Amino acid sequence: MPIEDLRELLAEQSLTFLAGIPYVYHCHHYNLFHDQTIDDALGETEGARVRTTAAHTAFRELLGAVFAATGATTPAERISLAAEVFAWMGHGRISLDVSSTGGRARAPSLHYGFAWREKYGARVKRDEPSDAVAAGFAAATAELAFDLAADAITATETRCLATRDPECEFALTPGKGHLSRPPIDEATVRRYVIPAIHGVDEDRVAAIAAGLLEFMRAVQGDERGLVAAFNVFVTAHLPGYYNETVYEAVHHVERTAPAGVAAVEALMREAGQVCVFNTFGNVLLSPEWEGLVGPLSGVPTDMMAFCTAIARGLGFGHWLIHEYEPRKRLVIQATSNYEAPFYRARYGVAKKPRSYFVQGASLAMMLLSETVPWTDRPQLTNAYYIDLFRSKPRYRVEQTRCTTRGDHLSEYVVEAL
Amino acid sequence: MTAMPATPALPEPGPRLSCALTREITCIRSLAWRTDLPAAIDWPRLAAALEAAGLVRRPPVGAMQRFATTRGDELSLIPTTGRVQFRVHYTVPEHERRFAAERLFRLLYHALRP
Repeated sequence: MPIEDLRELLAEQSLTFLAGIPYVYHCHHYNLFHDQTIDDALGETEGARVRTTAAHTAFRELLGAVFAATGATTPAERISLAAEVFAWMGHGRISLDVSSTGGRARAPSLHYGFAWREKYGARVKRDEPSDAVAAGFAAATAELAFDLAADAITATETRCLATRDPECEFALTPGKGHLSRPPIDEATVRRYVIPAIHGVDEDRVAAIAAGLLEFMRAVQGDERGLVAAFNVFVTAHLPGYYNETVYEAVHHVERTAPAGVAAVEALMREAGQVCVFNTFGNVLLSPEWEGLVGPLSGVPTDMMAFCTAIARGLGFGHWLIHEYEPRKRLVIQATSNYEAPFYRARYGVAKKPRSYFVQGASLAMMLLSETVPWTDRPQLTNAYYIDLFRSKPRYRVEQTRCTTRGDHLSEYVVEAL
Repeated sequence: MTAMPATPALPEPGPRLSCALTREITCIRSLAWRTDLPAAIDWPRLAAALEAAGLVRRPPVGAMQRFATTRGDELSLIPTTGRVQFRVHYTVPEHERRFAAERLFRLLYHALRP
């Protein structure tokens, strides 16, 4: 069965699934920043452990569902199919030489390592490997290939493109094993969404989002298992990875250093800002966008509609513009997002709003719509990012409703300071 | 914040046409380049000339027409706006990307000639 045939679309909620497991699209700018955020919150060693564990869990869920859907039963079938899925998602080509007690994996091109070297390699020397996602994937693949318990195999990256090695290598060794948790699948997600409602400019947002979703259906890894589109490297990625890393990091700080909670929450919000600035920004400036939608007008109401459509097109959920008064106030609502189902299923009802990604994204959408001179072809550099988010006009964001807290829907209010 | 010229403009291939290769709006170093053509040129003829020059037509993205070299470099045309993007394959070393883009630019230039 072709991997494409495992995709499903919950169209009215702009949610995408592979073999019933949620996936979304994120670019390398966001992926690298997300991982750095986790390490900033937890320190490099603990950050790498949490990231690897989260990837391990997320890929166990995905690959278990893929193997069940395709009827892959032998170790060879499963290992081969897993590698194809990984490459199809844009994470790179990886070859595994494993048995039920471990082994090794090698990869000439992985999304994280390659993109890190491409983005930072000329000016930053890195000592720690960057491919926790691939390590978690390799461990999950080996376990499922041989029907082992969760965490029966541990994977460690020993060589990495980002540390200037010619290719990435992983050592797989026996782990301690533990009982796995139920996967967060489409049925789980459906419990935490409400019927989609219309927002401002709904017809235009929905039409563009539908076009983007259709375009993204054709996106898949090339012969190296990477996806270059919209001027960035793109991955189909697992919300389980992003969510587990974020919430484990925040909960850890809440337990061990309560005074640092505000700072760590701000870090998680900033990851949402980085996504909108880089991913949404590069999508808007890309020839693909110009071909699909047309040239940018730079009119704030247009840009806000476009950003909302991009969120839906990337599978982030049914975001809608509830109110928008340029330069004053923006209210984004979401009848679905990729954070809430994970939080509710894993941790129960939250005591406070927990949708950090959309909080930061909403703030960034305001700034991108209001401030960026789109018709002047801006370069979306790091220097421009810093300038944009530190200069006036400045805004603050407050999440006033959150489905993680048991509210009917999620709502994010951005107001001028 | 505007794109910086990378090469001098080539001589005009036709009576009213001038094109210059510039860095594209992108955060990935030197991978994407652009030029802008008048929307009124004969786009079907240009597309045919690119194919005749050895580029392979790839599925369009809306109004964007895409062509690829055997190495994986891409040339995208948007007739409605005149934008042309040259996307050098990411495996090309950074110091060679500008030259790869210039080769694509010359290929376009020759395809534009009457």
